Amino acid sequence: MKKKRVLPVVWLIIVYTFLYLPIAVLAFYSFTDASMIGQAGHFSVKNFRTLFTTPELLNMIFGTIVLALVVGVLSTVLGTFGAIGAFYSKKRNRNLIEAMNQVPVVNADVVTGFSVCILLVVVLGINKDTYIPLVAGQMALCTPFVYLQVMPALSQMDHRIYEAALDLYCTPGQAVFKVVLRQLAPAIGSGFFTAVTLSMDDYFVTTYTKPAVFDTISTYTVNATKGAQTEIKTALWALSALIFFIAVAVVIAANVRSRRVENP
Amino acid sequence: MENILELKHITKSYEDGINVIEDLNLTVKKGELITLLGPSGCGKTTLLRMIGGFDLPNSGEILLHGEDIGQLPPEKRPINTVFQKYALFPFLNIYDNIAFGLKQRKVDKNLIRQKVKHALSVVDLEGFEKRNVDSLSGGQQQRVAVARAIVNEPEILLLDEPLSALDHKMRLEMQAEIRNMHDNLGMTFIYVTHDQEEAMNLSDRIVVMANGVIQQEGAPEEIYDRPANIFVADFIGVSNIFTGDVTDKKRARFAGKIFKTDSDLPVGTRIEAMIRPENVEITGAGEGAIDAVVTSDIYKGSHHEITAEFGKYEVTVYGKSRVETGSTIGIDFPREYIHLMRHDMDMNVFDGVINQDGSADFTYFTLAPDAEFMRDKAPGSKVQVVFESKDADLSDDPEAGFVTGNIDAIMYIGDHYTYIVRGDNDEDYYADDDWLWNMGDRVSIVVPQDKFRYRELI
Repeated sequence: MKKKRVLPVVWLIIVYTFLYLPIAVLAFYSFTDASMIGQAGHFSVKNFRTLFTTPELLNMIFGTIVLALVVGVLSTVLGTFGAIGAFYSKKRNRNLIEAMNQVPVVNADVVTGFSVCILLVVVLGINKDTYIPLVAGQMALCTPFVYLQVMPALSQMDHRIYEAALDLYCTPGQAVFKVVLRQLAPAIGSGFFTAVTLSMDDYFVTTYTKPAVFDTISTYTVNATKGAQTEIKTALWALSALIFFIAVAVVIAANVRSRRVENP
Repeated sequence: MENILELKHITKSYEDGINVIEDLNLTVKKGELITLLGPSGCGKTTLLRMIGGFDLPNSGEILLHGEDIGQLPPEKRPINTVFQKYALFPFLNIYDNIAFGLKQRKVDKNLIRQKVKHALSVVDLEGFEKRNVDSLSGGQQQRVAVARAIVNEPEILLLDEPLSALDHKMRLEMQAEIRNMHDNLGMTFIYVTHDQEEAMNLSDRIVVMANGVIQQEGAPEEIYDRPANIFVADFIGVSNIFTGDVTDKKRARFAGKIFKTDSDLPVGTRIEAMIRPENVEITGAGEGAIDAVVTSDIYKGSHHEITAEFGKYEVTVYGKSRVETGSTIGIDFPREYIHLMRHDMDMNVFDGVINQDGSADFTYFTLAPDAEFMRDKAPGSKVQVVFESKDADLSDDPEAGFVTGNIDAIMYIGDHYTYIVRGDNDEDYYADDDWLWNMGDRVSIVVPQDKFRYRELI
């Protein structure tokens, strides 16, 4: 009996080591003054100091967050109403919308980014400095995922609650906002988080559509790691470690919360 | 009693053009508990939704205290609904669910608290304010749904099959409670159900509907004892129905015999005779009007459900004691319990099944419904076909129609003749024709394809 349990545990350890070891190494080196991974160094927080004092880095982080929030909100609104609209359409139209929604999900980001760039910048002649191509491009990336999160919640919803709201003196608008959207709120929330994460992760769409002076964490990191500015490079280790810790904290918080909801 | 609600000439059709409700008139009295009863698809829920404002009639008026509310949205009507499967708001606790309508109307907070407390006591759920919807049983959610509606003190409370999700025992309990609540509140209740037993238990008055048309309205006893037509007789309770005709003053022939009746229908009228199983008398063999052979006896606790055959007829009797299967018993139909109904010859209705070839078998004939109807119908699904007598014509070419038979009866109705054609398997068809045919003529029945109306039976 005991023997049977060893193999899966070993397997899991191997898998998780591959997943977490690189990040652990990065996190470890971000707390040293070494200028290269593998080099000996002493404990130091200079990488974090650089990260939080260099205006260029701070602007880039701040810009990434603002962009992610703007894209997140807009994609969530569009994706949610898109899902509601599709759900109440005739079956044929709904299937068509559903299928078309799948394409950007499956499609390579590089294709999405490149085609958005061609459409907005080359064909329609919109200046990249207006940020419109960037926001529109990232929305094209994020909206389908919001739609995918909201649709199942809509299917599971008891649709009579809309009529119940009308019955209890709501106007149709109030019934949508106070009852339908309220009921869909958890799904809309997770759609929003997906959109924010996708926006922050995105490299290809951003590269093709961003203004020349603007950088997100992704595009900045790719360029910076190519260059020779060691101080900035090592500060990005610190940034990576920080992002990882925040991600872990968010996941733990979400798990604790859902456990509390299940067992009140 | 004062009329609270009047429906006048209500017609409702959906996009496909089929009328769900046709020229319906109904009056509801203040304070009564009225039930709309009928099989699924009969239009009862559509009617309720029009009263609530969730559907709008194509034509006709809905008068509340004499004022037309037919085109008002639901939130403008002093009417509240208890929905099928409750439709409670899962993200609100019980208190906030019940307070929802009052808050929406900006009622004073302290008053809301009092009213919610009172509503919870009416439905016997004191102390449940802070509970979640999910933590309640079906019956409890049902009560919350009722409380959420009555707390607004509507003029009329609509209940749309509110007990359909509950088990049988719970349903009986809730029926009694709804009846009690109604009597205590003095509110007008309009109740929709397909369960005839539930309608009997609850109602002051029952409105029986089929195919969007009111078949009969009346007190439960009246509907049970004196159904207006064969549909009502068959739908409400168990009944023995025989076709026949009035042969003499207060005499009718059916089930192969002539019986005395209390009916005043004119001589010659085609009739259906109905007698309830509990009113059939069992006598010794040879002592009753009919001798019948017992085919089964099922003990039901309060009575024995006995089925017996005579000739090509079958009769169900509720007896007090066991009878041997295969033995012969005498049967009598006491005259005061024989209820005669005028035979409706406007419609031909047949039930059938979709077959493997994508057409429909109706026992005596096969029809091919149009592709629109056949889409997503699997072989084996049950269907019903209806055609009106006025759309059916007679032909002497046996190939012209979809079924053949012999003319069995002729009636002259003002400007045309109505014929009863007896098919080769003893089934009857009704057809109107301008020409005079002779008794016994061999004819086929011709109905244009687009006059067959198909309906899926569930």
